[in-house]
Amino acid sequence: MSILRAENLTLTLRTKDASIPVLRDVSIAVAPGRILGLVGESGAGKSMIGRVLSGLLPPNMAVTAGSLHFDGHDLLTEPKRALLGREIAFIPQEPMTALNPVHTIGQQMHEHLARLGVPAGERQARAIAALDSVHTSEALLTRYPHQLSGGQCQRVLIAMAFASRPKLVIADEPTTALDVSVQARIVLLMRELQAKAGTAVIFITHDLRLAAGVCDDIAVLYAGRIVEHGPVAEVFAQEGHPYTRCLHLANPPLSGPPRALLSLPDQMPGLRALATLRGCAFAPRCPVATADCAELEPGLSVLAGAHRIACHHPARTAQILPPTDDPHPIRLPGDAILTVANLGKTFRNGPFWRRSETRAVHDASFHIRAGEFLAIVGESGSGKSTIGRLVTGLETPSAGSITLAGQDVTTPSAKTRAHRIANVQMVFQDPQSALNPRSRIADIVTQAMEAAGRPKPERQARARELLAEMALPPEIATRVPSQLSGGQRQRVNIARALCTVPRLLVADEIVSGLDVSIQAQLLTLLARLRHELDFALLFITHDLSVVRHLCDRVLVMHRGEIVEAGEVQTLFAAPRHPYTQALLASVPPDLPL
Amino acid sequence: MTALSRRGLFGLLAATGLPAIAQAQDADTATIGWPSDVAGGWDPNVRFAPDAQSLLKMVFDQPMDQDPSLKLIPHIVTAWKMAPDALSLELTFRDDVRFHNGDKLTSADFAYTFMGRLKAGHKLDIANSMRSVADIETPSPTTAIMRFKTPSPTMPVWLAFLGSYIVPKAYMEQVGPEAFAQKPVGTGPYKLLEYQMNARIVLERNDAYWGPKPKLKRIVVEIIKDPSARVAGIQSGQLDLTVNVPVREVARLKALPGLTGELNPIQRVVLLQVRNDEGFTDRNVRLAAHHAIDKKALSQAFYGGAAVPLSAPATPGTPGFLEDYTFTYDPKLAAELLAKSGYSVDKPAKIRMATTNGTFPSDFDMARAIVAMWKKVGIEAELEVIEISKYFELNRGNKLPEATLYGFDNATGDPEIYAGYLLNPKLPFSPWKDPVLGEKVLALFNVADEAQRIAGWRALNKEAAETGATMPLLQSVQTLVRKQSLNFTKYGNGWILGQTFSRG
Amino acid sequence: MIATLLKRQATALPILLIVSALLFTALRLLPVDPAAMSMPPNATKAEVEAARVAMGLDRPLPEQYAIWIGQVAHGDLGRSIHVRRPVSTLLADTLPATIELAVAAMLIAGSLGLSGGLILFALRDNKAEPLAETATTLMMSVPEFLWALLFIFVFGVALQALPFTGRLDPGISRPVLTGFLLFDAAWLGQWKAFASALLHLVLPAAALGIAFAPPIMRVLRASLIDIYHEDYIRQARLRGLSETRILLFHALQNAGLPTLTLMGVQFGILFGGSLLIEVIYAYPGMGNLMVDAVRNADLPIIQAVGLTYCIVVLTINAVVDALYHVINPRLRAR
Repeated sequence: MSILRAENLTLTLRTKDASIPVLRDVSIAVAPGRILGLVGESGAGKSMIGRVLSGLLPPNMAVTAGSLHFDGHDLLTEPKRALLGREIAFIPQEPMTALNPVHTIGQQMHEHLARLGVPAGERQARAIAALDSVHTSEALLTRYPHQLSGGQCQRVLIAMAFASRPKLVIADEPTTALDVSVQARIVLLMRELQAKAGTAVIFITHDLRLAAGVCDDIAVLYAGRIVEHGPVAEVFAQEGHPYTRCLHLANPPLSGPPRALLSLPDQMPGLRALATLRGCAFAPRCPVATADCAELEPGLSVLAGAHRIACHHPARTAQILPPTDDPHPIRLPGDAILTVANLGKTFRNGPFWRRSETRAVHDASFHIRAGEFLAIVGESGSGKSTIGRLVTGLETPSAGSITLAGQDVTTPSAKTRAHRIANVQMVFQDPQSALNPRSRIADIVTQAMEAAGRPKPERQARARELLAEMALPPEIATRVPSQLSGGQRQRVNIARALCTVPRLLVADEIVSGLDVSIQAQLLTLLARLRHELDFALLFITHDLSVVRHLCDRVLVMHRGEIVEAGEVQTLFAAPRHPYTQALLASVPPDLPL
Repeated sequence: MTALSRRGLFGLLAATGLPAIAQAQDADTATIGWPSDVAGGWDPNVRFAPDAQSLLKMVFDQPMDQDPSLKLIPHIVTAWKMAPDALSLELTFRDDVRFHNGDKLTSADFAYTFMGRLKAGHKLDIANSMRSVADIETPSPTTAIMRFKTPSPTMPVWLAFLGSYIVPKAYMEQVGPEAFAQKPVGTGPYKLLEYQMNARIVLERNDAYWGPKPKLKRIVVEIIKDPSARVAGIQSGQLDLTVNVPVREVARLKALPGLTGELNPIQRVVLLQVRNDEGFTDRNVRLAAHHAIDKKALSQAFYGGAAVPLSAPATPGTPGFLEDYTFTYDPKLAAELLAKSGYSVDKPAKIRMATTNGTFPSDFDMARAIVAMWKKVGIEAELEVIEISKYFELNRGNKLPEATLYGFDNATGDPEIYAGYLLNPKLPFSPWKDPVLGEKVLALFNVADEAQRIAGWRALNKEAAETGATMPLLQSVQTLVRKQSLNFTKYGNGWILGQTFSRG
Repeated sequence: MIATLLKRQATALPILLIVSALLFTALRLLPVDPAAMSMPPNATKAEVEAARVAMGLDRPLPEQYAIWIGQVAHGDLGRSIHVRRPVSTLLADTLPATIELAVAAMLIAGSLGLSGGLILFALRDNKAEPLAETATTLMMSVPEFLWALLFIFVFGVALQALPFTGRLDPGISRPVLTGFLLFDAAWLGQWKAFASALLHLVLPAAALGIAFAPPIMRVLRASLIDIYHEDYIRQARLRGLSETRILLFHALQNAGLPTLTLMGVQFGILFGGSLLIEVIYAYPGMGNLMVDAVRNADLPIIQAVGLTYCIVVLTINAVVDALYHVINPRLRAR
């Protein structure tokens, strides 16, 4: 008996000229006490389901078909505000900004409890009990959100969500903004509370592995439709939909022999393209599509038991295999091009009469050889980004030395700056803010040449070269960043860094926040580039699976110090430092192949 | 407030035609709206401020007084006798005058006021009037003899002039002039009850006054500097009387029920003070400038026709006034005179002119009108606005322009205080430094015989006008609006005295 | 926290010194001769010169400044040339009046601004919004002196409901204590005076307040619109809180910060801008004092009033700063 049942739900976006379906024919059911995972990449529509449930849709969107029932209430016709926070609770994606910054935790909890009808005298006790249930102390009640960590904030939000003993909790990417170790703990906590209260949970995420580890049932969304759903065990026991399999194969594995990643071409069709699409939405990208896939849209049909998929030829899914041949033999690394010795960086905060110090990096020593890919992993606050900035010269070291391509570049000067620019380039995390929104792509990628005063025809030729190398269509040379997709923008970012072919590339979290399939594209690209050009990579990330797939060596940082270093394979197989061990244990396990 | 917004308010006020509703006013109190405060506090000898006289005369007494027709009458001084050689003046005082603090007034207070203070180094404007005083003897508490360095036949007039108020010696010496200015003690018909600088003055009847008791117990003076606020005040009934409102407003307000308005000519001459050199070296230019001014038009435009045009620096009814002499308005003659010196409309004579703005009603507007009149005949004048205090500064440095629009008060009406000041090269009022006229002026100060003296001034007035040394324009009028229920005694010099108020 | 706030104001004293130096120099460079303007008309050149020396105007500029600052540090603000009283006495008489007026005006501006801002915000996307916008623009285009005149006309003359000159009714004696009439009257229990003083404040404070309210409305509306995009507002909705509660309890405090900054800046402007209102309403405050002083080139008063104005603005800054720390917990000392 499901607590929430959606049948053929269709959500339409009305613009001046068209009606575009955002969700099409979505049918899901959640039983009490079970966790349903909604998995999809960005743009698939998974967050929209949450919005339909809460009733807080943008003004131009409306439900145009289907039904939605919750615990006997017809959610499409009844006002939902009374249910929100009580029977239906939400856990947000960004915990730090989800709380009012000018009220204490206690004030906000009291307010919530008041809404739940808890009499004034009892509220404090209930608040303390709620915090206790999420394993935080009552000291948090007098603090402000900015004084808490991300994990603590999320716990508070979970406490508030479960405080009313809701029948349904909707968690929209609750762990995306958190560190890996925190993520694991939060997920466990949610399971604990959910099991105690018998709550139904909808867990929205883009991480297939995470969903498989946490949820009881799973539903995969693609382009606004559910393409596969069923109990987790059944879905992964037997491959159903090609898309699910492709997602699976796009995730770099954490154990077992290294394999190439399956990267899908292009990207998921956008809303406008969907309006005119016929047939299966996935067909254009599906590796095993046939002619009739593009003609007729498949409906959701039973595969086995409670496992349903929307595919004409589910049997062909088994043919999808990870690419086996590795056309890129790894070169042997050459001499050290970057040597860092006893590097330290201390930040001084505040005016001179109230100075406090933050030790971001302490006594770090490592080297990178030519052509080598070195990863630095750590959680937020570990100092890994600071190291990246020290290497590129964006920060000046407080201690230690940096030697780059034979020259000491520790102290900044005009000479060292020129030397640095010739040898090191940086790729930043967020392509949106890293690219000048008013410049054309061709100009962006050849920025370095423009700074050196190279003539225009030379730059245009180089731009064409770079775009081709990045497997970007040549016509985007004249476009501006806003006209590109997220994945394309990141590739432009990388192209810009590689324009002058530096010997060392520093990449700070360049695949975080990207969809798995796009991430796979970029990782494959980097591997290919590594072979064609000869550059070393300092890869800063928190994502261990990516490290294992891409890099040769890895440094693990914790609180400003390098706690462990070594070859990737050996470290992952047998981590020695307790922190490394804990880190590896927090990552959701691989899916069965 | 900008002129524009002031006109806006007047427009609004006029548009409604709302009457002043008689407020449940305490019949024993009168509230008047006055445009300026006592300058620098309540020390009456410090400043020659014509506007403040009405206020000071409620709290202090002068040795001599003037009746409404400005004739000199006894006051604190019961009798006076000028020596034939005008080198001494005998005065007899009343016996029954008490200061507000109870001290009896004696000749010692008189001597202290008019000589002792100056000797003690107090900076007082009456030093001007008492320049010729060598000594003051006090043979008895009710008599005094003033001895002069040079013949001073007009000293009695000076004792009724600006700043000549008797102050208590004992009290002043005890508290000092600054404290006195905040908590004054006089002999007047009213006592100062409350004083907020630039805001409000509250006076209460002095029941122990030696003279006729005022009918109203309390006088409240609201200091309202802005004319439109004064108009609003009288129209709303919050004020019983106010002065210095635009002439147009008087006409409008007096039509409202309960109010009445008056345009009273006063002893103020509005004239042009001129130089004898620079642009005005040529007599033809000077006389042309004078002939080109249509004084009747000025009176009509700015004073509703109530201001009397003048040809000599004296007002009608005063000894120096020349009944049958008129300096004609003759623009054709002006053009001819200019042509004689080679000037015309195409080749105008160039001079500069200064005026105040807001010191007396319509001063700036009149100056602009005069500039326009001059342009028509061939004189081009560059107009500059100055403050009255700047006038003296400029004159000291001999930097005044060729013509300055000036308003000169003479509460006494005596010709010595008109031409004797306006054309006196030794005093700071005159930019005319020609020795010929100047010597004549100075000589007249020493003439002891009254008839001779007056005749001398009359002749001088005519000569000055004919030489182009002075360009008198109009006799100024005081604009006044009051509730019909409030009566007062009209003085020829514009004094508004609370002790003459009555309700009826 | 108080220590932190005090330390933040460490720049106040240097600012004050710099402003006073600039003011002092500017006044001495003007083509006015205060000595000449203070002397009676018949003073000779020698006497004027003697007065200049007595006033110390013949000494070099830095020396004059040092003397003046030394006196100020001892509390001696000099003597007015024209009124011949110590400037500190004049200020003690007039400054409380202006402060009272400014505070009353700011209260009116603040309450109008806040409620107007909330209404404007509530009307967004509503058909009535253009009407409300026009009304705000109209309000903003009317300068405060025009409001002042309109009020005199409507409430003073036409309706005869409110007084428009001075601070008290003529018949009532003035309670004298601190100079803040409302406080003095209340403290001494003179309730008639209190009522009268309050009534006299209404029109001038309203004229100023209405003129300064529209920018507050605009800023509040804009900040609320910004804040409504924030995550925590959405989360509050998802927790089932009513829109009213979200607006008043969650959004308003966050929107208060830019609004508070604006109000702090406005108070400084309002304090100096009360001059015109004081003249129109014959209100005996610092503004009126300054007008006369400028006319008479009364340098000691001009200097002292300029300095006072600077101190007031610095104080307002400090207060706003402190309030910031109260409202925004993120700024409090960690």
